[in-house]
Amino acid sequence: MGIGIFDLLQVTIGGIAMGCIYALMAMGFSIIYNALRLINFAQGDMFMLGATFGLTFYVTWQFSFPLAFLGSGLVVGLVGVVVERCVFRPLRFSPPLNLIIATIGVSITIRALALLVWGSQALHFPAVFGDSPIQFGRIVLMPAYIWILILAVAAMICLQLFFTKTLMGKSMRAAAQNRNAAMLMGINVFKMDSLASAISAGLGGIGGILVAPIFFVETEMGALAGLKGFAAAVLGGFGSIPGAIAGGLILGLAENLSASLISSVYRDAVAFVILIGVLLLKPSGIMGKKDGGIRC
Amino acid sequence: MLNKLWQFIYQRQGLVLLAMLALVPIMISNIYYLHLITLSLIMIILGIGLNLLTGYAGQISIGHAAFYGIGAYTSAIVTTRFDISSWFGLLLAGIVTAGIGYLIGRPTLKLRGAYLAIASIGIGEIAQLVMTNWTDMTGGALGIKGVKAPSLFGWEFDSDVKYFYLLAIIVTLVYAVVGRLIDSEIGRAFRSIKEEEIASQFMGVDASKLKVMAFVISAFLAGIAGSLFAHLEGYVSPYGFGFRESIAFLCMILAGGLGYKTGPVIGVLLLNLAREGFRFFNDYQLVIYGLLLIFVIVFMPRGIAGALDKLAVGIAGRFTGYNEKKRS
Repeated sequence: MGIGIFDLLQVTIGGIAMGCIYALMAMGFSIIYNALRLINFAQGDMFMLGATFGLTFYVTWQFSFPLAFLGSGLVVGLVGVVVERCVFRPLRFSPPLNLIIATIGVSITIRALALLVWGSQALHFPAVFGDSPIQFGRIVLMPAYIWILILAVAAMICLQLFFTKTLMGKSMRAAAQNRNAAMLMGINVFKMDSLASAISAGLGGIGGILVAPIFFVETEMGALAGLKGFAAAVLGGFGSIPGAIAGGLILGLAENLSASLISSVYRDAVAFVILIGVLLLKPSGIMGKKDGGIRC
Repeated sequence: MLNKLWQFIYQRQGLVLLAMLALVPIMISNIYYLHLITLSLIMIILGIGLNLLTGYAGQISIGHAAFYGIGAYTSAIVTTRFDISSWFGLLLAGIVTAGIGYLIGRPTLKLRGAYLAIASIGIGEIAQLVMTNWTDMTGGALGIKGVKAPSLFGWEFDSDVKYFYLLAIIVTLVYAVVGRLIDSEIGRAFRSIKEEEIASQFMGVDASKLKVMAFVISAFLAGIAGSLFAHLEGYVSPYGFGFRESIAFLCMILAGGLGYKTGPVIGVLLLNLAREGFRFFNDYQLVIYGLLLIFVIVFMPRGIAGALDKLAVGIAGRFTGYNEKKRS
């Protein structure tokens, strides 16, 4: 068997598309970490909620896809706000383990509620992006991958603009850098916490609805995706947004390449081997601060 | 008089635990509940190790189910393939998991921060994938059948009641030994690392070495617990050693009370029984479980043992004029 250059290119593009999803997840982890100093293990469930809400909006309520896409992002963001207000805020000064377990409590609750609403069956999401492959010369691609690339990159650009151009985005960055100083400058840091939670949940939700047409939608789909997004965030340097994007892309590529070149059996292990490798070689990640590290 | 009795109970906690455990099979005749409590005893062994790591040395492991699973598989593989005594399997399970714990702990615990927590997530996922996919060795999704019950001098621990007594002795031993360790100089060093790592290093505590030690001990105990689990059920499969179970163990010791010797015992029994009790709610079982978890963390951050401790001190304070606030 030989793998030609075109096959490799095809695998690479698929990897980058999946990498974009991991990047969205990793950004979600980093944004909420910067604001609240917590590792949010409910991030994977926001991903699942994005897909399930998307399914309800698009299939049951017959929304158009762009509307369903934005709608599920917004609704999941709202869930993020509720979780921040009810659970994370009272625990602001708790020890790290309590925070971690609290996020896991949130995760269990969300997953159990979703199970009540959507059931345990794997649901089929119609192929909105079309199901016939497109040919570019000798490369054959599923249109879904191209759309994932476009929409994910668009989301990242919007976020970047929000953080650098708007007053609110700047306040958020200020609150993440130095909470007390930001408070003295008249920034409502608690509002920023809610916003950070909303954005990170929304990013997870967008990731979820984007992959829904490729995979089946089920309430357990967030578990592995969440952990892989987490691995991507650590790889890029926990808390760094450009790092999260880089980490996600590298992870997606590594996963797809190893699956096609080596063996697909251990495809899911790649993320975690990388995770441990990073901790052994460069614990601060690719773009993390040197002194920083994860303090949760 | 009462004071003396209390002192005796406090000093001989192990004996009291053993005496209480000895009564359980007499009081509970329902096989199902006895099995549930036997399983809980195995989890208590793991919980005691995890409490030593998290409650005393202040390090978090989110992959302890992996050690539990590796212990179970090690024991199952060596006893079914090579016809080796279960006791040797038990020991080997502990040694293998302790070795893996050392390999992971050594590099990650050199650093301060949540690196062990992160690495342990990775180990947990990799272990589960290997258990599922390394079919030649682990039997893949089907698992390994026919793991024998251990026997001693021709006496086989094949029924639930017999196994229960075996476990009662092991749990008491582990409880007593780890209890002695906690009260020793090393235990104090663990606590100093948890409170303030830099200050404790300044006082001459070799923090990274002690953190690795705590992790290795907890991995060893998890391995032994896994092996005991395999010999109890007679069967191992890759399900039941994943992220969820790792989290469940953490929840148990947290709900019980981190940094209290009785914490893991209370937490394991409580959460296992609570899950059993909520079975009545059917579909809402997990919802209630998740909400309860959040509730405990928000309102009882030091767990049940912590809340009881505070209550006891408060009541005692009524009579003696002792003030809780002065205590800490």
